[in-house]
Amino acid sequence: MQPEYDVIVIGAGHDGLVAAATLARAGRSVAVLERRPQVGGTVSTEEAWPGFRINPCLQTGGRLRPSLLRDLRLSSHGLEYIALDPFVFSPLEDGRSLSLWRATRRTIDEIARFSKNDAKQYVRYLQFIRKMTGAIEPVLDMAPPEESSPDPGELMSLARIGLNVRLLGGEGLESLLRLATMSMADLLDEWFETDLLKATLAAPALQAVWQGPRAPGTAAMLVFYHLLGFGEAPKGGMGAVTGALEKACRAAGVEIVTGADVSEILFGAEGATGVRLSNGSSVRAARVLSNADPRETYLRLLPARRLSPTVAHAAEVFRARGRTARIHLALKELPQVAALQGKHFQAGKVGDSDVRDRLRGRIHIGASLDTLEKAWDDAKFGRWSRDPVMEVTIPSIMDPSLASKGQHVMSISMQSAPYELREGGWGVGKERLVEHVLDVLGRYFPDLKSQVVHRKVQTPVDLEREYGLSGGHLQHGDHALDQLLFMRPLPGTYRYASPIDGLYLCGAGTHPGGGVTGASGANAAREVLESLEGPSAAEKAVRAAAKSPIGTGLAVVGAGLAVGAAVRALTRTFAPPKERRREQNGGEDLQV
Amino acid sequence: MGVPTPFHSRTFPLCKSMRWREWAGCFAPEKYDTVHDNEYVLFRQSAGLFDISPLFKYDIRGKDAAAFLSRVLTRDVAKLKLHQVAYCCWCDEEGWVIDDGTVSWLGDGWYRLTSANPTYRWLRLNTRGFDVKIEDVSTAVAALAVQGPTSRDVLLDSSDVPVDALKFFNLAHGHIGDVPVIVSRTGYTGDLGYEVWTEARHAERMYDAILDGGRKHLVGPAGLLALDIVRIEAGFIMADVDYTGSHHAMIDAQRSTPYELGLGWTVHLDRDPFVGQEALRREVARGSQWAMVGLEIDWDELEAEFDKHGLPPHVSTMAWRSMTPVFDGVGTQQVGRATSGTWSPLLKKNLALATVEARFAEVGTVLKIEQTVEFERKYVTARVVKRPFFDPPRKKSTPTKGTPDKVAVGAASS
Repeated sequence: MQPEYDVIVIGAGHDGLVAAATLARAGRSVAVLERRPQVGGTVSTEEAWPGFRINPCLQTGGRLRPSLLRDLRLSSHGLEYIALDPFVFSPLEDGRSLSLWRATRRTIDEIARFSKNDAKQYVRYLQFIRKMTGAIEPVLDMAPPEESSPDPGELMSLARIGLNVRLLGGEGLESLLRLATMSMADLLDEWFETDLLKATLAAPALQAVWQGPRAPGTAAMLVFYHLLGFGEAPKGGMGAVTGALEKACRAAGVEIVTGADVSEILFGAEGATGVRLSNGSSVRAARVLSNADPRETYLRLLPARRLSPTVAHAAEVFRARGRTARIHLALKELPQVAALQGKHFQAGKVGDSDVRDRLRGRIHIGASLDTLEKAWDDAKFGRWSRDPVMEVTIPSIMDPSLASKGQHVMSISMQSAPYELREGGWGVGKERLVEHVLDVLGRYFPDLKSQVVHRKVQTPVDLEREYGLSGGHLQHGDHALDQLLFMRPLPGTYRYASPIDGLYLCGAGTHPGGGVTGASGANAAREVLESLEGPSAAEKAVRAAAKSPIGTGLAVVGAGLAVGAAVRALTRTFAPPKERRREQNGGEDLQV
Repeated sequence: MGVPTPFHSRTFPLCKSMRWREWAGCFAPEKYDTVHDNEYVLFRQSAGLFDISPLFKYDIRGKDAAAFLSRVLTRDVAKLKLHQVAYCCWCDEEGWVIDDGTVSWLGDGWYRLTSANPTYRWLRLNTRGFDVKIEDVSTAVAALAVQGPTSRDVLLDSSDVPVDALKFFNLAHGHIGDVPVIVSRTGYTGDLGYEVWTEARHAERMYDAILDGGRKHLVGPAGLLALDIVRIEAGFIMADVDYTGSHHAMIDAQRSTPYELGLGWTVHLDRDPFVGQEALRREVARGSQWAMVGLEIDWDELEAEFDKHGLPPHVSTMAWRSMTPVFDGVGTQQVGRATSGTWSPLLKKNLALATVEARFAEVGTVLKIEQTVEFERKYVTARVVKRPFFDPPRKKSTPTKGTPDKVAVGAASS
């Protein structure tokens, strides 16, 4: 039977839409099947109560890859990012607070109120992070190659990254190696002395990580978080991203069907042939691209009795343990902020607009790395934390259209609410959780409770049920070095392909992971396209170049330099400590 | 080293040679007497008692037990009848054999799988989507092979199981004394024989009863050395000797498919998906690369090589299991390797099991095998012959009491 489409995309999350639009623009017939009544998945903005629209799942995210913004003409489809300034505001219970601004000078002044040393260090820290992320950024846009046999194009990309890493110099390379194994807390302790600053920098990088800040390997997650590029928000809420992508899809001729619940991926000896829907109908396609997470794709959408036991096991041990509960509030008006009243607020005279401005970005609750570690301990042992770490946003400040005039919506990501509660289960725990969170937030927003007109809570169990997220994990699976790069989604699968011919995966569960960059979707679309029509002209040129003596030479030199530098850095790392040179302060405005 | 089997209190005093070997983590006697020849004669002339408790044994229960086993094994277990046993192997996704053993349908929703190597993890990995429970009964179940021409009489006299009516590869529940047992008409000797299974706590009483009841039928304990000879005569391959299980192999060149091992008859290809099916289909379409064959090494040539040194011909009385190169008929190109072999006292032939390139597998093909004579490598003619080398009618027959098969064949009848 003839396929009805070249490609079926399961799920209309941002990666599914990116992939669909990319494939359709390359002339392929594409259908996107979305179970929910609207597109977007975890990147959506939905009306929770009449007049109030919220970001139900993700409330912050990275920026879509620049090439996507350009190729899919997303600005013409209405996507606009607004810089959050300050991008984070961290109040303390004692009334002090810290804001990190886009203008580094302003941030330095704020930090200096806590520590003059940290204020100086901050600029260097930003330079350090920028240097590290700059070297490895090309990783985002490449498909994970098969380790044992990368193709020539991939070798070139790897060589380029190798060269970048080499160009970091000995110190930089040494740092990269240290980052891979050390803990976030140790790294931040090396740089700073202010607890609040360290906690503010660490917390967002732990969202997709089933670990606390003192776990080895988390330093790399801190860099990874910065790599994704946060600090901006799409105008109109997270849903604006997928809204623009939906328009780009339709403009490219993609057929998007909502309310289409895929119950099974169909495959035979020749590979994937299409999907079956829960209403019993089936749709045939030459390729199936799953935007569902790896566990959902392998363990629910493929028939258990037919899937290879080795693959099924790899999917079963892929860790997706959500620890974030989402709490949404509709507010009569903006709550008072204790830290922006009275003697501790030293930034001058405070007007309403100043208060509002301070709350434009993320609001971080969590005083120190100890707070983060203890909250994690609770989650680790199956309790939701009584001293929770929270990321609060009030998106209606930047975008008044999200609430009726003068009113606001507040969303809270509570980071220490594990999917599995050791006692009681979420049925009874849910309301107590909201009450407790409101009590804790009351210490920072004294009149918050009296402002609440509606409230809604989503535990990881709710997120799993509503959005099909295994373990309620908003990033489709834990971020950890053994679950990233060519080991994401599963060791032994490469280039977004699966062990079943014609079945591909995209989404946060694949490389490079969560963060709303759209890189997974774009990379996966490229691989699907190549499987349909062979390598693109550009790809062929790269491969030809790589096959030529010069290209091979370059690749070999790049790889050689990287290996040589790694060896040198290793010997240096294990050599006796010596005075470490630090980069000089460049002084320009930097953002994280 | 090992742990004792449930029969150890009985086998230990009988093992006069004090020669023990580790087998699957257990102490297993190589031979009971100072030489193993008598134990070989027990297997072929009367009845040998051989402790097979070290085998790995798994009970599979549940409503999907048959479907689950059909998924894991290359055999369609749904075709099995109640109280039937089947020889089987199982593969990984690439169609490489992991291990081989027997599967028995013991009762309602109750199957038992035996294997040479620990298999629980692999079984467990395959249970997704099946309502089954797997229990490792390797140490909980004791088993004894009673093998040889008088084995039927031994069990008729020691058990209440009508073994004279028990068909080849069938089993029956019954008692030996007051011990509940399962008797299966199976074995690893290629002769008339049975395997008796019971709970480990009953093992010693069962052993005593069989030895006592069978005394007048000349039953006696036999060890691994004698078994190794009879199993080669019977043409049976052994895991990790004649082939390397996929999970133990380091490279694909060390792995084998069922077809290459001569186990193609245990593969039911056209049915619901099972592990390795796609790869095996491709192999069938493409043709196998290797084949397991029986070789008969030319005695006159070997004798001539010894004669050149002024020596009488000499071969070990024990089976060997060292990889030995096999060449084409002119001895210029290596085409495979022999993996085990033996002098057959019964057939008076020098036998070997070998894996050769498929095009050299036809019966009658003349090959050369490397033989070391007085520290010199020689290439001696070896002919591909039919397996099993020894295949008496009594192996599969269902005799009734009082009409025993001819006890022996050929020269051994003296």
